[in-house]
Amino acid sequence: MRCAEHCEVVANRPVATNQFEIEIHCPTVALHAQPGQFVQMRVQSGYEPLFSRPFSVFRRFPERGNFSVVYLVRGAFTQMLASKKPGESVFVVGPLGNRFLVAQPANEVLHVLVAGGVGAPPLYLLAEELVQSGVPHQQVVVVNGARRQDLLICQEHFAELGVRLWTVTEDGSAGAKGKVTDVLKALHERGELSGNRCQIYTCGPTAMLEAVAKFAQKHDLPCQVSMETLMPCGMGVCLGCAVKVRTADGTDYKRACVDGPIFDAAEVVWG
Amino acid sequence: MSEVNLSVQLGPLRLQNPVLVASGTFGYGSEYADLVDLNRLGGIMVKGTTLHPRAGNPMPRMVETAAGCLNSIGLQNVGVEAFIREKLPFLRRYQCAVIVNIAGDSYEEFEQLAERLDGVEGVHALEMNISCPNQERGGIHFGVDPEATREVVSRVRKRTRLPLIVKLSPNVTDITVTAQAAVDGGADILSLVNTFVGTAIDARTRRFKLANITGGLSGPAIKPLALYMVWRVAQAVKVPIIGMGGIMNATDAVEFLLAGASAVAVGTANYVNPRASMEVLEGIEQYLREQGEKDVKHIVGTVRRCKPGNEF
Repeated sequence: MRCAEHCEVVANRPVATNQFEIEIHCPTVALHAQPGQFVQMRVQSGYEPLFSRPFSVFRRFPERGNFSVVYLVRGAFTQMLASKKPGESVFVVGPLGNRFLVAQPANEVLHVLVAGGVGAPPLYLLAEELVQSGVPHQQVVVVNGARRQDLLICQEHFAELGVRLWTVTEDGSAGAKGKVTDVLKALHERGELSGNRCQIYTCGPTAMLEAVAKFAQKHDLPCQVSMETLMPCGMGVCLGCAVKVRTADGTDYKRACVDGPIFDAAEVVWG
Repeated sequence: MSEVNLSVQLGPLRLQNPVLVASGTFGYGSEYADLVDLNRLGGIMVKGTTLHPRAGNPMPRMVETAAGCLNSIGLQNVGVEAFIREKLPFLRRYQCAVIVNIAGDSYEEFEQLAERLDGVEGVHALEMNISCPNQERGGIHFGVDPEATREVVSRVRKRTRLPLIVKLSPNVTDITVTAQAAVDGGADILSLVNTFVGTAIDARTRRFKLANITGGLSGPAIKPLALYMVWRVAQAVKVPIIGMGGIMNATDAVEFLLAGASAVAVGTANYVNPRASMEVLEGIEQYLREQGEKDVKHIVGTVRRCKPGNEF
């Protein structure tokens, strides 16, 4: 079930430097969005920029018919989004794409959620789902990373869930100093990660996804990545968001918007 | 309120209304079926179909430009056999016309595609995409060479009984010449325009933005160019025209009808708003009522000169 409609902005609040959480009244997305899925949003009235932009769903509030996304202001579109006030409208198409697949049996698997910067929101939705479905808190590990403390998001939300939260920043301004892969290495050295009872889920900058995917491959760990690319249509027709994947007889292109955005890291051809 | 007649007859092809969706912007229909009532569309021009499946070009394949977009998808598609087997059965359930856009690298490929699709249940017309590289002729395009255009159209004409639409490339000095060549070759209908060749450069990195260097420009940026070409071709040939190029709303669509198109296709707008085609259809009907017109045919090609001193 998905919609394409004008929706009312309920709130638009800062969550980190240049990052905002926008809450939107849209019962269809609020009820049906799954962890990892996204919406296409349009705020411009003219043709600059022309296309909608994809945003992963962060929180769902089904009882009041709202959902939210987090965005980083870095261009004309996100500046327009940041200027939206409660009561104004945005055009929403969604929910779109596939979802993170929860490894089974869920209660026995160690779920390792690796977030980079503004990639954290869909992993929060996944962590929330895991906890609400009864997966023991100690079986959910979140590695939340960013370049600096002021760019780190979703911290209080992960903390509220009571999951095992590892914080890491490149400059050491919050949590450990280093990269998310340093935390993965540490977990691996402690013997917590092994292929048949661990599942990595990751979302963040492409360079980080690649590093996490390569770590997973090296240690033979299953890993799902959320691929980020321009998505002109989000509907699977423009073929502009192609992701190169390995096939039995070479390589092929899949569509990030409908075949993804979640891919098995082992099938993605990087670079 | 009196009824407005929206049905149009394009040579041998009857459409329940003049609003189609352009090839490559609506997949195979199923992608939009939950958001758009396909039964209300005049027709669906399906993704460009080749004899064999194609993987398409490397990324990046698409880039936004001022009020437009450049694409170099590279005809990624499932191939004609998989289209017939996997995509067509879904489309047969709807009453809109199904127009298969075919693309070949050679005369023979076009001939084989036409033959394969002739008589296949649920296919209502063919649209020839003649702006692909022609391997036989050293990399130039069928669509920019009048003689090659006439030749490829006449070869396809001999191998199909289906209504034959030829999609014209705008990348020519005088589009009426290739338009006439397509008609001479046996085209029943012309569709125009395809995308304009262009490129985009990132000044900061000093690199092209598309892996393929060049791409086809579409979107509102090309509307004045497309409108001009539709008007020119409408003066020059007698076959009906499907107008397209940057149609974002009903007003844009009406302008193409006034310029001489008998039907229109919504393209890039489908990316921006999945329901764009429905809004165009509803808007055309509303326009006709407001103008006191009872039949969409009555406004085709009725544009008049501007009135001096009345610009504002």
